[in-house]
Amino acid sequence: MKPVIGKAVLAGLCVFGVSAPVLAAPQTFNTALPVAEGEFIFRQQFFAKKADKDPGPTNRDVTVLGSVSVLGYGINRDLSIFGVLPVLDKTLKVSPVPATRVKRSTRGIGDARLFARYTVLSNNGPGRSFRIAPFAGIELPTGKNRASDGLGTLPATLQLGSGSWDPFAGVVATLQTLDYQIDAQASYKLNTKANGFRFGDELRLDASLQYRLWPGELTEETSGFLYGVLEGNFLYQEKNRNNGATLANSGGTQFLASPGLQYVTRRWIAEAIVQIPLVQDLNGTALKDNYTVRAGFRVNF
Amino acid sequence: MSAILATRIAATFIEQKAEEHMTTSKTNPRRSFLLAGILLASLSFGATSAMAKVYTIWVDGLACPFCSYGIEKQLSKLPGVATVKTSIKAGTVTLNTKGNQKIAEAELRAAVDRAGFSVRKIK
Repeated sequence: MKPVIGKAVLAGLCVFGVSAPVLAAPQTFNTALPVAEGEFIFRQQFFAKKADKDPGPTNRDVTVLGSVSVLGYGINRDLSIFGVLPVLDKTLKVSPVPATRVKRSTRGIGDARLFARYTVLSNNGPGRSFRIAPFAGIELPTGKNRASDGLGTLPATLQLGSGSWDPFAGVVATLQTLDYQIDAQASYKLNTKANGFRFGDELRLDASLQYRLWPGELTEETSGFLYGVLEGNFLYQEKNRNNGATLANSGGTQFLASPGLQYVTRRWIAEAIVQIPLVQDLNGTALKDNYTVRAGFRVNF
Repeated sequence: MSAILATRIAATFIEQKAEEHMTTSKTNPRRSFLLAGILLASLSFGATSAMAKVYTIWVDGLACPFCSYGIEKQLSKLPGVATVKTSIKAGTVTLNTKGNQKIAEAELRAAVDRAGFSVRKIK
């Protein structure tokens, strides 16, 4: 079977997106807000992704269910470290020939991530904070990358991990006020080769607006905010390569719009968001996304 | 002054009960001492609370409930701190000490700094 599901959608969202370093206000990416020195912060996010817009003849249908656990620790007021561990359940249904339907699936721990974030600019005022923080880390080959089923070895993009050590870096900026918060992030992931397969490098540009819906007026006793959330995610991925050959039906550009809600208290945050692809300019017959639903919580220890 | 006076009254009450216990066998000594102890403890607590120092810290950068917890935890770790309460609206953190214990301004500033925020002023 050719790696027909190894398209930018799956590679982008299953390998990068679901394990994106999500920590504070935005739900689909990182933020520059601080983790207090010596303190831990934990985030658990669950997601379901559907991709069955197949421009090719094989009627592919990919479902990914998963959870992403994130643990952050503040080394000092500016430097924080994070660990991200995804658990994934991927299923592919495909019709290699008409009137047949083949189901292939895999389940387990995906590729973990470790990264550090350092706040280089912090400008605070009454009820307002602006921060810029570069970050860098690596995706570790902790997920199975040679899983197989009765039909043989699963295609690289259906594997739980890439098998490669993939560094990434970026910068995130956050403007937070009492009424709203805006976050923007740019990041690049350099994917390396494993088992003869190399995912295309990934460039991401993300933005998030959280606007306080409730309470309308703050009081001395206010201890929780309900935010309306609108996020945008731009992803460009280069074509994948297999044994040195470029895979024409992989890589491309996506833009996702994501409305959501978030309830924020002193100790915990509950949140949910839906990612809807607005633009999917993918190469060849790369499988296109339908939607991704995310829900989870965060806890301050 | 009133707290000290109250404490002395309680001590006197205990002494009286002790004398009663020595001179009569009709009084239940356990009950008397228990009552006296409770009175003393209550008055002592009231005296301590009355003398607690209160610091108000205006914090820059404080703009959401989730962030305030980090500041509260850092301040709560300081020795002598009894309670810490944040007002998101006012951008202030109010800190009560145990007894009349003083906390150096530099310590308060350092604690807020460790949480990633800035102190504008302390009162």
